[in-house]
Amino acid sequence: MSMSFRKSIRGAMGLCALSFMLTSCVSLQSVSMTQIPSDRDDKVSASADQFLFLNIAFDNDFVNDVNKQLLERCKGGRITGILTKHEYINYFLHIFARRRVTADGFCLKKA
Amino acid sequence: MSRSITKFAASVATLASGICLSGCAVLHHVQIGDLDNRGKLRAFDIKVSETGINLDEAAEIGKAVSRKNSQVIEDINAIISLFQMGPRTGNMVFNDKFAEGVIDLIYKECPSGRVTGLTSIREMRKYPVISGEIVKVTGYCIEGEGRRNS
Repeated sequence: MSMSFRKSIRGAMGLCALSFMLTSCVSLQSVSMTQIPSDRDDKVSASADQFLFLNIAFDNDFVNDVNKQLLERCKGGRITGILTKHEYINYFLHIFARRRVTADGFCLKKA
Repeated sequence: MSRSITKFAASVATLASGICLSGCAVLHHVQIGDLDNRGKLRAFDIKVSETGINLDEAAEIGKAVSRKNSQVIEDINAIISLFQMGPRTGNMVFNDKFAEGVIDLIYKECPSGRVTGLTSIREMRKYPVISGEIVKVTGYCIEGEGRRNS
């Protein structure tokens, strides 16, 4: 096997490893769903996240923002069919990570 | 030089103890319920908790303290672990009914029973060896002459 071929294989493997390390890995922690309405025209969504360094978090208060955003996006209506997702995004070896909660639902303005 | 090293060590120790004492907040599960935004809403927040114990960490400390009995401690930990199998969130607690009073607490916060936007959060405050196993429920009480849920 020639020296240049070995070098190129090593380079490709290194590039592959680097891309694995730099690509963030997402894991789904929990999912929940409420009753889906028949009228699904007005879709609303909200999300809140928290950046983590060394996986240290001092509170989970960021979750409260999701409710507030949903209320803001459906004034005077009712939101049903809410799909809640709680994800964990690992950016780099669990040193830099993010927790994200997203909620998608349908706004019903009719009585 | 030695004084600056001591200062640095002290600041690192302060930071570490601060992190240990404030506890790491772990989020296990979030669920948001239907929201009715057609009346006057009053937010409420309910929290119930129980002390959890991390047996692995306790065993590690026990082994470090008493090297003589390290094998015995390891065996005890293994036996207890056999009875703690199965999926769970957080550390084990000695009272599995600690979250049952949440419904009564919700009615206490909102006597009319017209509740909307219930968000249940299962979280944990992680300290060395022990933890606070928390169930938090936030929501809104519909006040005044808002329309009833249809």
